[in-house]
Amino acid sequence: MNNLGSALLALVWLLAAPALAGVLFLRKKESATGIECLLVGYLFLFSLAELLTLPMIYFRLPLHLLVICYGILIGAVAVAGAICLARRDVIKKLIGRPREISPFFLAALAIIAAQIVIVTLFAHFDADDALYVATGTTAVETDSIFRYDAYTGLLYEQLPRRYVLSPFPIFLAVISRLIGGVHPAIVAHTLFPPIFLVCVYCVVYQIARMWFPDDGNARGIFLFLCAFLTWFSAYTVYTAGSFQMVRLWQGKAMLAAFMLPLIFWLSASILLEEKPEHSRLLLFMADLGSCLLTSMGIILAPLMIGIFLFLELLRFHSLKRTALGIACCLPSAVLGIVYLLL
Amino acid sequence: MKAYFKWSLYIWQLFWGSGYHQYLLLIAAVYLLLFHRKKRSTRQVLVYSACVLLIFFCPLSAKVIVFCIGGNVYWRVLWLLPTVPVIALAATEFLRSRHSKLLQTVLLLVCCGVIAVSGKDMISDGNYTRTANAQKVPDDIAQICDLINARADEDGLEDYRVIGDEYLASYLRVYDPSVQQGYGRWGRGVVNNSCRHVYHLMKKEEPRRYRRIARFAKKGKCDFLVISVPDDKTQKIERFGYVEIGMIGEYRIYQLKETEN
Repeated sequence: MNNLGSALLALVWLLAAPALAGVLFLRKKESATGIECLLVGYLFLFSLAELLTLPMIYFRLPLHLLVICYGILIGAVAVAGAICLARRDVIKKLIGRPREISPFFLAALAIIAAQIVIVTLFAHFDADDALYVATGTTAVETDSIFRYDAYTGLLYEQLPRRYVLSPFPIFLAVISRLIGGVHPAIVAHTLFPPIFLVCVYCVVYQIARMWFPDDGNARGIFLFLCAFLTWFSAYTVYTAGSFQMVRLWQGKAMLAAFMLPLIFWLSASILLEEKPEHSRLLLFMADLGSCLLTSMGIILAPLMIGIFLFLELLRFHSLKRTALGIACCLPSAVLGIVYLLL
Repeated sequence: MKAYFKWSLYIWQLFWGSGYHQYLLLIAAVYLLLFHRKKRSTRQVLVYSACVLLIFFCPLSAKVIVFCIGGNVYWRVLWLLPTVPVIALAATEFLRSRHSKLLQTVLLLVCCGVIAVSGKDMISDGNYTRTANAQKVPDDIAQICDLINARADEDGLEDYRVIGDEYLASYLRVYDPSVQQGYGRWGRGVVNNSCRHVYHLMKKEEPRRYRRIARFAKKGKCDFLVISVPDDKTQKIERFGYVEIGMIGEYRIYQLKETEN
């Protein structure tokens, strides 16, 4: 497949499909935006990947089976979302009425665009790719899931317990297959960073909307400052900003830059609201999706949700609400126990 | 317990390194507390941040988390701290209370200056480079891999094992997963004891023991050996049946031919 075809397929699978899938989940929401649909769609993409990949690793099924199942399910949900979009007057709702755009917002878009250009055109060498990307390339090469050692290319004698519960590299392999067999290293280093960076700033924008619902100018300033602060986060290699800007294709970077801020927004807008606009299912999916990204997600995601649950309990004094919130951390609890037992 | 607290403090300092964004965070928190404490956003973010810091510095929670994730990645708990949103929130609240757009712009530029001075930008830190290969691995790795593949094709080798240093082991299978290696990064997945010996010998600084490396590489059934060798030492490798097939950068690429002494 040529480059243009692969690029179009990448746009379909990494932007259109999640955005449409998100429409299905937000169909009942009065004022769902396109950004919200994309973010919720990614929650679905990640949680479905975790749900499908783990049993397939256990039963030693080939990669192509996972690609078929995943493609069909994502496709079906996206089509259902598209039907919702066509049936209801959702498009109008998604786009909304044209508003005056703040110059600060335009400045923020400019700095974000510059960051997207940089992460797309330039390379960053990270030796962690020896595992994270090579697991994806090995899966594609051998048509298997975690059966061959990414370091050597030989059969695993025993599964790598630290990584097997968080098979984000397999998600990379699946996407590589879905977009026409593009080399997983190209997908990881050239396609993932710009698309994921868009998602990261969509989350920042949602936080801005939550804090400044009626002030577009303030949202623009906030977005600009967040992008600027991230750009100047290279004082150590440990910061979330550093991970965001140099290796967003790795699951841990996605956890730090995308999933934790997303959980922050979801928790604040679900757990701390008397009548939340979103369902707790999204928080459950976020927890499950965090488990896909990295083993660190198995503990950090419930830790964040746990803090918000504590704040919720302080505010509403409702054990029922807290219990429902705890249920959202069930994936982490189960996988955490498995992780410690393995 | 005291040791855990001290250790958390050490991790805290490690996390911020040479930057000053932690002080911006403190200033932002104090500003929000003093001037915007009645706002929901402020209460949300400050109480949440306080909880994160409590968990991070509390010896008991630190002990539990370290048990679960390991001590060497404890700094990742600080990813829970919403540093960027808190600083941006405080600065935005400060700017939006100025009604003139011009003043807002000037003050925003001042904020940018403070952020820039207290942090370090991504480009000057040498994070980005250009590559000639689409996979975006180091170009010398791609060239080495292409050379090995071409030679393996010529000789009709289907499965072949490559062995080299840590740098090669980190990127070779990212570029081409059809290549097998004697070991991976940090010597992980080492396929046999001979390859383990090669790994340890490769890690040692000069003077390298080239003869032993070649001997163990051969014993470890490595078809290709990639190593940086001075001109006057090449025969030490060649005497074990390795023939030089090319040189890329500082690396010489050897192929095992069964005609050794």
